[in-house]
Amino acid sequence: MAKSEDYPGQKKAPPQWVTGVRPPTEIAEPNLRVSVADMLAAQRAEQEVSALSPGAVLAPASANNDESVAASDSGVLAEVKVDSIRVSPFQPRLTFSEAAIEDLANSIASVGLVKPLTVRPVGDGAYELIGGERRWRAHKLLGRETVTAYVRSVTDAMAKILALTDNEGQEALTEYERGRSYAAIMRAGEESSIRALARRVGVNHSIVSRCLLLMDLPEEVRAILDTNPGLIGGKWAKDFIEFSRTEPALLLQAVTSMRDHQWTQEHALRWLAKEVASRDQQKTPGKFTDKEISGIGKVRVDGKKVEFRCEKTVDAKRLAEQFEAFLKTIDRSLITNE
Amino acid sequence: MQQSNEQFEEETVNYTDFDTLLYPPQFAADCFGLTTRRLKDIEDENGIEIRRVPRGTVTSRAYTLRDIFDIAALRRAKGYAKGLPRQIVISTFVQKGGTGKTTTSVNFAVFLQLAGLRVLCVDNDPQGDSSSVFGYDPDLALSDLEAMGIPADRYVAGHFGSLLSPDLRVRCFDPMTFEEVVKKPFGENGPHLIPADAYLEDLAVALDAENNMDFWYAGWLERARSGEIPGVDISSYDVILFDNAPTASRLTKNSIVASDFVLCPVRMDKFSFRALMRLNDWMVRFAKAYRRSPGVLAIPTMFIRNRKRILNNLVVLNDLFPGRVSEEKLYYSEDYGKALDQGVPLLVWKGASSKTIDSMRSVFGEALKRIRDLAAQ
Repeated sequence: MAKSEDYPGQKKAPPQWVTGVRPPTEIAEPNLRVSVADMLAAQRAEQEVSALSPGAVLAPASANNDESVAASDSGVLAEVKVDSIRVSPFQPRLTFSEAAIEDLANSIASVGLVKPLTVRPVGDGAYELIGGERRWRAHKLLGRETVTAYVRSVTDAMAKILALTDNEGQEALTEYERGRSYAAIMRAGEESSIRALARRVGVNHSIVSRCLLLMDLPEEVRAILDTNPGLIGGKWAKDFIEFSRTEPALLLQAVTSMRDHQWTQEHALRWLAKEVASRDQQKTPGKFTDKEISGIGKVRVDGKKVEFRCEKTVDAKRLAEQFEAFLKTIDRSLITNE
Repeated sequence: MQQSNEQFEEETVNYTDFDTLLYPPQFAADCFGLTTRRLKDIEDENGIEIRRVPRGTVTSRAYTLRDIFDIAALRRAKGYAKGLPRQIVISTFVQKGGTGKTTTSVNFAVFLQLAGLRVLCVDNDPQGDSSSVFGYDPDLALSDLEAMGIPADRYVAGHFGSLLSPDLRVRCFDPMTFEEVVKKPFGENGPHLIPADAYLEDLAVALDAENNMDFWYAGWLERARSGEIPGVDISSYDVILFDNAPTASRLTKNSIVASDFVLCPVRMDKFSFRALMRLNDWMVRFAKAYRRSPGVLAIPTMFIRNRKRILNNLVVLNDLFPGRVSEEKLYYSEDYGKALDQGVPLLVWKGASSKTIDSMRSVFGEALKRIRDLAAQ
């Protein structure tokens, strides 16, 4: 075992750091090859470009202009400067959820942009969004300089329609469909954790885990969902999964009815609860109803209590003696539960 | 020596008249790193008359600061001292107070001027401390000067903002010509000064309202250098030296953007190091954006010999900032405070101990060498 270095009188090496001062990641090498004059010229050029954005009358022949000319009806794919894009006046979406855009930005940061924006040139190297404002905002959030976009030159009327179709064109995946895909990714080991997966696909991790939970349904139920994925989802999914653990058979029956008779989720859940309750009632009959034994009295069972009410003619004391004697002779196997 | 100091103190109640300060030959020779013999030869060759004052039974030469700076200019004109291949802009900055920025700026200006370079020192701190060290108290009005018996040319009428003013959208101050603003505390051949007063603070507000708000000093210097501004020609200066406040203000950023070289006086403590790292981060970002980065030299100040903690922190500083820390240091000394009280820059205060002055000369010599290398780049 190594000797302890920590004893009085031991010379300690002075610390090689100062608390709270981290070493710089990088140190700028002196470089004056770019003169102040060059730097100022670059500054001026930058300023002129920004002065030429929308509203400017001047339209000098520039690379940007060529690009707009090249834009055709069907659209060309181009890397467009994020700064040169302005929002569409025809945007049908009224609100943008900050959180959702952040999720989207996470996804773009990790896997890149899957679907390019659609923009139209408005002259002077500026562009107007037709579709993809959320994606554009996510790029801005990420501080990206350029974004991939279809550049299409279209009229105002067409832009209005395209702005709507961009949002209409896609039907959101159902939770079951998403859950299936998430599960497949997780199974293949492509993502280690729910959180990592959520970051990749750009949704909140609570949604991913909720969708994944649907994979816990019994196989027969999942077979039905494979053809009708919209049957179960939303806030009720949790209750269905609860039933899948206790009453898989009843659940299957309910889901089948949902498919065949268009039961709503709420209806199915109500039915399930009722079924389970009524069956439980059959199993354990409630209170023992009064039973009359003529000439002697009435027997009544209340929980653990057995009550006997004697008739007027019967002497309760003597009955009790008789009863005691009877109880001693009783076959115990008949009265014990186990 | 002791006696002359006491006399000197009595005279300087309200201000220091630099013209009345007399220096012995040895001090003058040390300013140039010459022997008194050689200094005398130079004077004889060039017909310079140095006044003689009685000393005991004989008279001895006594130099004024003007004489000393005249000799520096002469050495430059004769080619004994080298200029710089191009003008260099220097900023003194570290975002921590009390590390010796003003002391470094003022004395470095004096040092460079003595080395034969022509220096324009720009006080970029609304506190006006370096103006004050050069003898221009920005808090005094003309009437105050009169009442205190201070010559009227010590009045601070304008500052760097007065020069930028004609081009600014927000006109906080009256435009003034360069000649109206510039101060020459030791005469034409001494370092020149653009003083500052508290109103300089408003320049930051005016710049905030402009485009490219960090590039105004650089732009002005560029135009003033190329003679584009009527009545201004700063191309004759070898060095423009900005003294900054310890804040990363708009004014400071402007001066650093314009700079080729940044001097960072640092004390051996955590706050100084952090300030240095912050400056480094800013410069790395700046270098990314403009592919330009000024040279940097950190100067350990208020150093105390044989203190384990301080020595250890110096090692840490060198680790953090390899190749950018000066070898020699400015040592902690009462001389700095005394020179300030006397109203004379330490480098030309004859009361300073030779140790203090020598270490300052060698630190600045190191800085000048780096600046020469950079100017040749």
